[in-house]
Order: sequence, then structure tokens, then C-alpha cells
Amino acid sequence: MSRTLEWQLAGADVVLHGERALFYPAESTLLVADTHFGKAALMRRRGLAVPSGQSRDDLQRLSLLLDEFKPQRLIVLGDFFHHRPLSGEPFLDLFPIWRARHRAVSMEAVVGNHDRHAAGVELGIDWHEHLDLGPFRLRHEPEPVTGRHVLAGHLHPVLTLQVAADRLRAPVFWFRDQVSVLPSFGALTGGWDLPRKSPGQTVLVVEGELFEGPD
Amino acid sequence: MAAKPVAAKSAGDGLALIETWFAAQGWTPAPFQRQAWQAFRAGRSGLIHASTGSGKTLAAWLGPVSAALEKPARTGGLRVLWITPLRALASDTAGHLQQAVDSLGLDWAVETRTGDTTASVRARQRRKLPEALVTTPESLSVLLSYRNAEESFRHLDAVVVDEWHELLGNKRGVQLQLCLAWLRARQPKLSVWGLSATLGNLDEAMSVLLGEGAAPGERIAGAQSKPITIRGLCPANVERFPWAGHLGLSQLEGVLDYLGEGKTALLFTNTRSQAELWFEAIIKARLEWVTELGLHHGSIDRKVRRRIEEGLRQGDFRCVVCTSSLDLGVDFSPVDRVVQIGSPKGVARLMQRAGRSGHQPGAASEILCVPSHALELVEIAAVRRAWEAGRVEARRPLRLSLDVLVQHLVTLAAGPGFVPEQALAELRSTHAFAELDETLFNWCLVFITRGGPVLEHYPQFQRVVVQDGRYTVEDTGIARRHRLAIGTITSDAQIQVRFMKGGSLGSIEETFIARLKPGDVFLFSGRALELVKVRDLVAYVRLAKTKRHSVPRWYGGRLPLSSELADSVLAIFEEVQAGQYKDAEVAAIAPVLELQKQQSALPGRNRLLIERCTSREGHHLFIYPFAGRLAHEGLAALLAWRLGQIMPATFSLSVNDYGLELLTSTTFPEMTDADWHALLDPEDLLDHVLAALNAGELARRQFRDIARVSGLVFQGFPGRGKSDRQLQASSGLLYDTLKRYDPEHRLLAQASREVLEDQLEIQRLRSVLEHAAGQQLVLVSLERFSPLAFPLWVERQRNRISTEGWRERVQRMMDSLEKHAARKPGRHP
Repeated sequence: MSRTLEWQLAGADVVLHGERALFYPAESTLLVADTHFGKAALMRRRGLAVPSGQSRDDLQRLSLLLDEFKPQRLIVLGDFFHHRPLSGEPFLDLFPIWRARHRAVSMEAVVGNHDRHAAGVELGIDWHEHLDLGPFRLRHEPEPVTGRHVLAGHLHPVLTLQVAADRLRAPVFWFRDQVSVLPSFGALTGGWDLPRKSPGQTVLVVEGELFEGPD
Repeated sequence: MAAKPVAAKSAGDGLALIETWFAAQGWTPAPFQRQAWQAFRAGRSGLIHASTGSGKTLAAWLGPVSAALEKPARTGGLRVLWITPLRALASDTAGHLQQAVDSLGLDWAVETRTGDTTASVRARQRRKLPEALVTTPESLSVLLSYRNAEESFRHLDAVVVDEWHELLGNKRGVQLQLCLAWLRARQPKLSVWGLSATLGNLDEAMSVLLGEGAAPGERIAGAQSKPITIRGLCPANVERFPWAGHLGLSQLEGVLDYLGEGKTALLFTNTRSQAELWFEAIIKARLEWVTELGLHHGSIDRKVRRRIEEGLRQGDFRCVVCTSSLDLGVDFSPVDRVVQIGSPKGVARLMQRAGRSGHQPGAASEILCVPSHALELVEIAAVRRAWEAGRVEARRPLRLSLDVLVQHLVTLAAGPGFVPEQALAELRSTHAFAELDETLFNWCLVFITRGGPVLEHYPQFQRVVVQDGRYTVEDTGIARRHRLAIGTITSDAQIQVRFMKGGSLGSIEETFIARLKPGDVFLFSGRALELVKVRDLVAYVRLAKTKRHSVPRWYGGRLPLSSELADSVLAIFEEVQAGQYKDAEVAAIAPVLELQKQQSALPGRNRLLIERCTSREGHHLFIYPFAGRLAHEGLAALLAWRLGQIMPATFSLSVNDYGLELLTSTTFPEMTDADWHALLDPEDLLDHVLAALNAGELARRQFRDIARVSGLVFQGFPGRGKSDRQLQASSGLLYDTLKRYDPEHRLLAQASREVLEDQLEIQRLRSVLEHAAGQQLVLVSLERFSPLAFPLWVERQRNRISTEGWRERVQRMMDSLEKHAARKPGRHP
């Protein structure tokens, strides 16, 4: 268990981080998935009393990661937005300030299904339908692509461990031969339970620390 | 009830008409029925308590009917509201009520309004309600959430709350209290009548129903309840009798013989999984009964359940295996046998079940109790003693359930709207919110209008808006989602179970299905089913060909032993300690009890037994307060924590209804009587329990229901479209979010309070400790586990609770899973 874990993926060396991020040193790129910015704001607009503050925290977590790895590129694997942000939302005030602080980093994202709600919102991010990086194909949905190892998000994978009456549910990195999925980065995002006996390997994230999952 | 209608004579004497009608059927009203009718006509409210099948329904119904018979020509509209806790009962009840008025020649329509009511009927009822409506607390609340609510209830004369004892102690009861307060404020002459089974606190039950400051109500006792016989099935050979864990199946032969002698039996189990296992076992043993056996529990499809209920009424079944799903409701007169499997847990509960038999003329009620381990035989004798002495459990009403309160306020805002001063007065007229102070009330108003007191934390929030001092919901989307949420107070995330070829089997907890993969086989609805796939909250299955299967574990089977029953058990132990065996059931396990006496001692009401033992596993400490498993959980954690202050150690804990076990690898220090009393000191109980337990984690789980009821999360519904699904978030994440950004949030405090009061029964825990101060401590060192200790050891093999931190916990779980995988290659945990 530790906050970072060195990992081999499709022949490349990567570093997993307990803040639910993956760093690819060869290309100096930090990857996260499913930030879902603006989710709490949408919930508030619809009458659910969810306090604000997650956007600020999530950006702060990103800042810490950027300070730690000092990457040239930050790429979000889709669902950067949860919903189209409306004026007056905290995120729209916070993001430009945050962006200015990290202006040296190239900020990019692949388009996720939620991002389509927010088409045309200008934040200084480069958008891609998908993107190739080393042996990897970066995309939102975890569909295999011939000749490349897909790194994706979308699923928000979590794993439930059960030993006798003790249950523990945690977000996971999910690695398979052709497709790997990152845990969701956003604080208010839920999870999709990996079915028992899913193929591949998992790394659990518990309280910011990483644990290799059972085979 | 094929009777000639008694023509509604001109404004005559309604009660006389009813007497004539009774006579025409060849019946005589029971004295309590007449008493109830007269009390109603005198404008009183009150509570009628009697066993099922004694005529409570007509006692409550014919009062209002007699008044209507005298003034039949009044304008239409709702006159009587009939509240039932189970929507499955609504249509039966409505049928009975309709039959009575038809037969009396009163031109009233009796309809139902529940979650099952179709959209077209709902729309019609929104325009105009029938004269009498049978509904649930949730559906009543939904009716208040429409703009025209005040108009709908303008002519209401009476509210009857059926099975009030089922609602009294829970949040649905609180919701109903709030609705009643609203109705009463608009209709000061409203009569409210409750129907209840026997309870330990009937006076309190009545005053909660009638509200604070109401005129004194009338408590009416029903006909003398018929005698009930409680008999334990004593095993032929007690030495070979299992200690625990076989769900009583070793007694199958005895049960089959008993069923064979009767015509129609109900076989009650404590959990749904136990019901599935018993159903399967009976079929295997008696193939010739296959068409005469039924299975009935809360997860079985409603249509199937209705068919079984109908069959029971017709006498088509030899035996129906069921859970608390058949505790309530109309009587099945052919039932002549009732069997209870496992601990009765409480006096009132067993009596309710026993009362399901013996409705044939001249018959008595009998219940056969089948113990699932030896010591439960003592519980059976103990129930009988307690019942004969009139000691029945009370159900304590809840207070200040803020989640229900904010839901109700939004309901009113979505409906006709409310003005705070008036609303506060109404709320304080309920028992649940009599002590609601202005600070708390204002917090609720802020919560529903601005999200929370820190405005900057809730930008763009709007749910309820204030216009000219009136609180209303303007956004139709918010009102619609709120109505959907009202109806789901009690439901958990459920997955439909369907055959591939069509045909629904019922619904099952999502958490169970999530652990299966396609191809896995499980036992459900009396069949071995193979999971094919899960899509959109539906699990598709087919009949399995293999025999190996798992049984779903449903939650909710953790009812603790009641203190009335526990006391009664201890009283019997005291007699045994003195060498007396007065009950056949207790005598049957004399060898076990004598062994306990010889190796150790028997606990009593004034003797707290503490046993110590060393085994290969480590050092064991067993304590037997007999306070029920919930209180024992808290106590075990507390003792482990306090011992941890004296000696650094990690403990494994195990509890059951009788006692608790602490296991550690470190030797326990030598302790004097004074040391023990210090360990069991009630001082600082709350602080120590909170420190001992991962109280935060427990509260986080408890928050799930609170978040749903208060409208903090929206669950979404299958087929309701993407836009709603985008709003879903887990209550756990929300709990963390609130804890961090709005730590003073009142609903967080409520979650902690509910954990202490409901999950840990802190009051009961406190009384164990206070009692211990004056108790004689019996300290025994054991060579090997005593008969009382053994079930705790078994329990620990099934469950694992320990005092380790989360890091060790994750590591240990991983190791355990790895070991398991290594031992059985190719098989996953």
C-alpha cells in the first residue's frame, strides 16, 4: 500500500496515484478521467441541497498532482463537465484562475458523453475526439481498438470486497489486455460495480492509498 | 354477506338501522362495537385494541356510516379516510368496507389510493375523491402535495388508522402524525380512531395518534381475546441436537408430522432466506404436497403473493411458508396450524402470529415453535410466561425526525403552500414535534429555501420559494420529483427478477444481484434460478439445471430479542439454578442447562455471568447481559475500547442476543470485582462508545435513509429518462460532502443520533451498565466453551468484527481473499 504505485502497461512504465490519476513519464502526461465538473450545481438547480466546494477541492487535488509530477500535459479522459455550466456557478469563476496558475501545462480533454451538453463553452482546453500517446489510445468509452491499448474512463469502476460480513467498496483502476479504465476523479461521482470474476487486474484506492486487488 | 339492503329510510336513527342490519344477518354486535359507534357519534376520538378477526373493522367503520345513513343527501366528497400500513391490504379492506355500505343501502363509493393506483384513477381522484378512501401514509402525503388539497379534504369527518401499532414506532408513523395535524387544523371536529393489536403502551399509542392538546380519547378494549396455546417442538434426542446454525431444519420431520395432521398451516420464519430454505426442504421431503405448498415473503412478486393469499382464503393450501409478510392483514379462516421457526424474538410478535389460526367456530389458537438451537426452547417457555403475565413489548414513538419534517414541509409547499407561524403551531400539535423549537424550525425553513445557512455554499439552489410570506414550490419539475420521492420512503434499491420468456418473480436487493455473475444459480421464490443478465434494474433468469445454489441474504432479519422476553428467560434460568424445571421445553434441554451449571453458572436478573477461557485461538472473554444483539454490539465495542486503554491489544468481537465475546491474543490482566465494575461503569458511556465504534462509518450508512427521506438525494426511477438520472449521487458521497462543507448540518446530527438510538439501542446499553453496578458478578474460568459460549464462537466464524484500523482491515481482507483463491484454484471469493 502506498500513495503511488509503479506499473507496467502495454510495455510502458506508468505511475498510479492515490488521488485517482495516472502519470505517463515518457510523454510527461498526467491522465485523469470523469471529473464531472458542475454536478453539484446541477443538483442544486434541481432542488437538491448539495453544498458547493467540490469544484474547488477537485481543482486543488489536480494542482497537487501537477506540482508533484510536473507534467507538460494534463489530459482528461472525457466527462470533464457533468452538465452545461450556467453563469454564476462557482466553477466558472474558479476555473480561469486555476488555469492561469497552471498556464505552462497543456490542458486537454477527450470528449465524453456528458461533455456534449457543454459544447462551445470556452475554457482554454483543447478538445479531441480521441488521442494517441505512445502505445495508448486515449478515449472516453472503454471500447477496444486494434493495435493499441485503450485508456478510458466512463465506467467509474468500483470493486466490493467481501470477507464474511465485512464489506468494503472502493474505486479501482481496472487493467485488461486491451483496455484499461481509470477510476473517476470527481468527488461527487458514484461508481459502477465490477462484476465478480471480472477479467483483468485491479488496483483499489482506499483513503488516497493504493492496494493491489485480489486476482 | 348476502343480505337484503336495508332501505335508507328517511333521516332515521342510523345506529338503529345498523342494529337491524346485524339482526337480519343473524349477528349481534359485540359490546365494544356498540361502545365505539356511540363514542364516534358523540364526536370522540380514540383507540380500539383487540386481536385480529374480532370485528375491529366494523367497530370503526359503522360509526361514520351510521351518521351518513341519517343524512344521506349531503354533497359528495371525501368523508372517511382509512389508513392502512400495507398497500397489499388496501383493496381487501376497501372491498369489505364497500360490501358493508352496499348491504346497508348507503350510496357511498369506497376506493383505494396507493402506489399501485393507475394514472387514470389518480387523475379522476384529483378532481373528485370518493366518499371513503383507503390509503397508505405515503399516498396520503402525496394527496397533500397537490394544489387543491384543502378543497379535497373539506368534508372529511373521520380518519381511521388500521394497524396503528405497525406505524407507531417508525418514520411512517411520524409522517402520518404530520398529515393528521394538517387535517385537524383544517377540520377541528375531525374524529381520529386507531385500531391496534395489544401493545405494552396503549395509552401512549392513543395520545400520539390524537396529538398534543387533544381532548382525552376513548380507549376501547375489544372482545376478550381467545386463548392461545404456545408449544415448543422438543427434539427427541437433545444430545444430538445442534447448537446453532442449522435453521431448525433438523426438526423437519416433527414439523412435517404436525403439518400432516392439520388442514392449512402458516409456517413463519424470521428471514426471507430461511423461508426459501424451508420451502425447498418441505418440497423435497413431501413431493406429493407440491401443489399444496406456497411461499410468501416481501420479495415475491405482488401478483404471486395475491394468488397465495386468495388460495389461503379458499383453503387450497396445506402450508404456506412466510415471513412477517403475513403478520398483518385480513384473516384466512381455514388456517388451523401456525408454526414459528427460530427465536420468537418478542412476545407481541409471536402472539400476532399465533392469532392467525383458530378462526373456525369454537377453535382455539395454537402455535408450534420450532427452535433452531437448543437454548431457544427456553425462549419459547419464556414467551408463554410473559404472555400469561400480560407483559408485552411497547413500541416507542420517534421524536424530532427532521428528515420527515423537511419532507412534509416541501409536501405542503408543493400543495397549497404554508405560512411559517401557522405551520409551526400545527407541527407542535404532533407528539413527534411537540418539542420543536424555533431555531430548529428555522433551520428547516432555510434548508428547503436556501439549502443551508451558509448562503455562499448553496448558490443557485432553489426548492421552495417564499412569496408574500407563503412558502411554495414553483418549479413543476421539483414538485414532480418530490412526489416520486414521497412514495419511496421505505423502498431500498430493488432489482426486478424476471424470466427470459417473461413473467415476473418478484424483486430482490441490488446488493445481492451485484455479487452474482451470469450463470450463477440462486434460490428465489422457491426455485433454483440461473442468472442470465441484468439490464435496467431487471435481472433476467431461467430455471437452473444444477442443484448447487446460493441463497440471497436479505437485510432486516436482525431484530433483537425484546427485553420483556429476555427478562422472562432470565427468570427461568433462576429457577433452573435453584433446581426447578416447570416447563416441558425447559425440561427437554435439562442436560444442556445442567452442563452450563456444572461447568460455569446460569445468569439471572441479578447475576451477571462473565466467563473466561483460553484456546488455541487466544484468550476469550464471554459476558451475558441478555440485552439483545444490538446493545451487545455497542457493549462489545465499548469493552474492547476500555480494555484497550489498560492493555494494548486488538480484539475480535462476536455478539448474539444473549451475550458477547471478546477474543484477543494478549492475556487479559487479572481483574478484581472493582476492576470489573469500573469496566462496566455507565459514566462517559456516550463518549466512549463514540470513540470505540467507527461511529462515523455507521452514521454514514444511516444517512442513506435520511438523505432519501429529506430529499437530499434523488434516486431516479427506471424509464424516467436521462435528465433525472443525471441527478443521482450516492448518499455516502453526499454525507462526506456535507461533513466537509457544512459540518453543522442538522441531518448529520440526526444520523448520529439514529445510529445510537436505533442501531446500538444506547438506552438499553445504558441500562445494562446501570444495572450491572448493583448486580452480583459471577466470574468463571472455563476449561472449554460452555453451552452459552459455544453459539458465540459459531457466530464469530460467520461474522468478523474487530477493532483494527482500516489499513489493517483492507490488508487482512486482501490476504484472506488471496488465501481463499490459492486454496481453491480457479474459484474466486
